[in-house]
Amino acid sequence: MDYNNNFEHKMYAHCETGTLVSLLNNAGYKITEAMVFGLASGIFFGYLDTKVFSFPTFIVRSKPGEVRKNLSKVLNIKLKTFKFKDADKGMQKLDNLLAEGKVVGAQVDFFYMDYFPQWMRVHNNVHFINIIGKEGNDYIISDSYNREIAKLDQSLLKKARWAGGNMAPKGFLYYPEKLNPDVDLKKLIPKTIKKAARNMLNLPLSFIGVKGIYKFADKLKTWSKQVRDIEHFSHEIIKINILLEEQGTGGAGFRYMYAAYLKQAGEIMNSSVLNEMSEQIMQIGDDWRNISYFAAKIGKNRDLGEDRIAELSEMIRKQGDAEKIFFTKLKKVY
Amino acid sequence: MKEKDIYVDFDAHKLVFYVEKEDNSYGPIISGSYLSANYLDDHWMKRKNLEEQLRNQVIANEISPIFYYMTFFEMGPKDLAIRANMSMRKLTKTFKPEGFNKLRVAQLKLFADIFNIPVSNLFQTFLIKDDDQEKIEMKQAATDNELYHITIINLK
Amino acid sequence: MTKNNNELTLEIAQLLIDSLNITHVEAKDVNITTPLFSEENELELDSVDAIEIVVAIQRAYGIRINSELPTREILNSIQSIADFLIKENATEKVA
Repeated sequence: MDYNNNFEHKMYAHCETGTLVSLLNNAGYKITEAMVFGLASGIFFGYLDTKVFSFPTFIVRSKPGEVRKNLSKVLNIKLKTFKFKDADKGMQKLDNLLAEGKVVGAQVDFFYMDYFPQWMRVHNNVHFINIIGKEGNDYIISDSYNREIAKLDQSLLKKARWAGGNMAPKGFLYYPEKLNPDVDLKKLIPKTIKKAARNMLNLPLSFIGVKGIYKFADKLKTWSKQVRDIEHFSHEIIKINILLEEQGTGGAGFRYMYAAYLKQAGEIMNSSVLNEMSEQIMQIGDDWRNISYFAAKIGKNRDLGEDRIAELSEMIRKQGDAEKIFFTKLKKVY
Repeated sequence: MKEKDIYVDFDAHKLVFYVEKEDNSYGPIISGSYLSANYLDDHWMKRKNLEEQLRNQVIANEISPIFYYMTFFEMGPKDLAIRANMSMRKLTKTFKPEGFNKLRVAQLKLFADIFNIPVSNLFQTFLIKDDDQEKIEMKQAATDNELYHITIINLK
Repeated sequence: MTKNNNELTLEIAQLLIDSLNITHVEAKDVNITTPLFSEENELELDSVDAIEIVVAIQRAYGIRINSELPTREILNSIQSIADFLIKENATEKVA
């Protein structure tokens, strides 16, 4: 394959953080995925009932793209970015950058990443990959979710980069242009922690943050009226597990990754309080994991009567309580 | 969660999780997917049943192929409308055969591209019986004519 | 020169169309008093679009919508957004 042999491909928990870590590490800027996530205040919750999706759903991290933007701001990194209306110009620009030896981040529709089995692929316009070379008509892809480097045909990459729909990629490309090695993490960490806490506690919409967790607990009890049949209900309940565990969260809806950030931050700040907070959010994560196991079990068994759904709803509501306490405490640490 | 409690031995689907390691640090490990290891058969059965259910509804003229694929690929109607450059009101009309039958070829091609299928697959289904799945291989190849695909069926 | 109501509501409609990548309707054809999140509204929004709208208004007019204010009332319609901006003396775009 024709790409820079110095590039080190690794699997990461999440595509946006993993792509950034990969780009930065390969440019000589050493940082962990947990630090990227935490410094960008990526932890979040939102209950979404919108016709953009086929069924009500929830998100457990900030809006896609925000991790990249926040991280650049916090670390004073300059990322060169491009968007294109004209797909041919966008593909030509990519080829030019690769010819210069650059590794380039791209936003794509996950549906077209045919190096994954068909059953895994859904239309999701906010998948991020690194493109590290080209060989004939194939692009060489470093995808955080893939064990190995992969190949993707240029026609599929073109479709993926210019897929329409919600949060369309518009051919988005980025790479680090200027890095800033002199960063005082001790000054930055408190701000990023406060921002994460504010996002979970203080945003003015009823389906966002801790309020969103309560909304999810409440609205779950109405799902039985929105499904086609028991098989559909089973599928949507099992999806709770997928959204918390499988769709690239690092486990427990990013709560484990945030625990790792607070642990690392605690070492940098020499703070036993942050260390304690990391253990608390790890415990909250364990309870989310229990919810995802429970959802998978009752979904598979079609054990989806009112009582069982009420039980699941109560488990989620308790998470709302736990996260309210946690983020309220976190906001006051600095 | 501790590393030993999260780890699943399943090679076909691997993920990265953050765990508490033996030295009490928190960091990433690669593990098999718990859900895929334990629930994949149920998932396949549901997908197969849904495909059959939707196909029967198309045959009975209750829904259009666009509604079939939108439902099967779990796309939201608003997302599909934006991808198809139409309002949701207009898209909703295509969910029934009467509305679908009025679509022009260019519009059908756009939908086919969204679903990543040959446009002819909006008008047909290829069914291989369960018993024959292991013996028969089917591929659909694009040609230079963007509306024309070749379906190749071989004995394995 | 202060904007009149027509100019301001048209500007807000365009801001929403641009922020939400709406292609099926033009700003001049959007009814400014129809509830934003109702099925009758030409923009075909749902409640989740509220996040983008809040961010877009804050960014465009340099104003903060915080949880003390009745966000639901502010975002009821294009006219109610305009009324809020007039009340807060923030009808000029900063971005």
